[in-house]
Amino acid sequence: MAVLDPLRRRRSTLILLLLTSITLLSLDYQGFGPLGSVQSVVRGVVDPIAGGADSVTSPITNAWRSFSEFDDLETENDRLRDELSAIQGDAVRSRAAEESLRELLEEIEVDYVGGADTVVAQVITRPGNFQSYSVEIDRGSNDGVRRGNSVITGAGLVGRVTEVDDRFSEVQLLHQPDFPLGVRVIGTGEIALARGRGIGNDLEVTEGLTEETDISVGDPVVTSGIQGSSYPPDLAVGVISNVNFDTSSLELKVQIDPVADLENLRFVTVILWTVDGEPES
Amino acid sequence: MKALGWTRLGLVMLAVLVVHLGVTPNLPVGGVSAELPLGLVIAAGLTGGVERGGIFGFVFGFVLDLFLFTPVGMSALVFGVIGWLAGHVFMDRIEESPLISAMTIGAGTAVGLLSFVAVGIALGESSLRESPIGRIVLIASLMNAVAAFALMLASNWMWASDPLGERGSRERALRERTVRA
Repeated sequence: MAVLDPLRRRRSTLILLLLTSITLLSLDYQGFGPLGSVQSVVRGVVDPIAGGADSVTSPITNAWRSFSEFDDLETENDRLRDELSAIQGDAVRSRAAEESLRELLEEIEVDYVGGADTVVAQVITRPGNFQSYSVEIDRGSNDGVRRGNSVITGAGLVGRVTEVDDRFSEVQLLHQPDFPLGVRVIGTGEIALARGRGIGNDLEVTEGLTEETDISVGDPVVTSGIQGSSYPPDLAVGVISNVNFDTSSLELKVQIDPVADLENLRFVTVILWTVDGEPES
Repeated sequence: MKALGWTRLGLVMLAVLVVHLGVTPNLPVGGVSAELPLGLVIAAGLTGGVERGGIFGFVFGFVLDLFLFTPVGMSALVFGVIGWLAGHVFMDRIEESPLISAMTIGAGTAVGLLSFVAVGIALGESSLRESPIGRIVLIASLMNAVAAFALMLASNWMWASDPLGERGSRERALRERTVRA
């Protein structure tokens, strides 16, 4: 039997590894089903063990975090206390407003999404240090989650479900560049299309508003829910953070500051509603 | 003997994966946690040689891919090449020293993370651009260098029962080097 010399054998190994990796990448981009099954099985085995390790080591890791993040925690505690006071006041007002909205929508025979079924999910931390435009939640098709479902927190819209497994789902967040979102400015009723601009950046309105549009900083923005929109109507999105008429391009530049804190999500609510009432293919 | 080797290989991979998923994210330094899987791949190359390092890196990268948002095959590609390169470093190294191992694992981690970002951006994973890459590379490399001793111990133990045969192994490499000399 012919035996390759060591140098050629090493090069062959590298070429084989490169080709196999490229094949895997191609299969993944094409949504090759069995890869998803392998993922589900491996994660089904490893995730509970990792969860156990997390619990066992939590006294040590909590002590480390308390030590290393003490100042941050104190500041955040103060901030959360202030926010809680404001939210308690808002809650009373929004209950009354919600009731009025429901009655009004019933009168004009529009579906009230506030009555849609929901499921609360926990955000799962994925390993690694690099940021992502998506998060994973611990609810999947077994819990009724479907592609296209909207995901919210108590503050407002977070994103939408893009991938669904039996037990997990992937949620694409609002700040993903080119994430399209139909919005309506409360007060003026103006309808526009906004898009994400990356992590930590405000959304940008790209279509629908003209220089004559009467909007100002601080105006609240909700989902438009117009026909064909992927989101139910009237989910809080954010507030107008910047309005600027660009004299060179003669365009109105409007930005929206999302109300949901997209970078520190722990629990979210999935609204079990899709635009057509059917799972997306 | 081979069964024992595979068992050790599986145990080390599982242990590092579990620590990476369940423990290190809760022990950040400056908001960055250690990248132990990458460190283990480099240690596997350093202790096992070119082919073992490459194959182990590819397999471990593939397993890790199943837990990431990035496309399946991306970590496999980067880890495979890094393991293969680490094996080459081993081939050119005569003396074993904990300090050199730590420095090699630290430097290899930096190269691996930068390669991961470069490959990711080339594949259209633009979210990688938005991470504080310099800080992540610096801190994760230092943390992996600190963990180098444990990683080298684990990979030495893993290869001791020779699960991949002698292919590319330390003994064979030393023999080849002797023959060349």
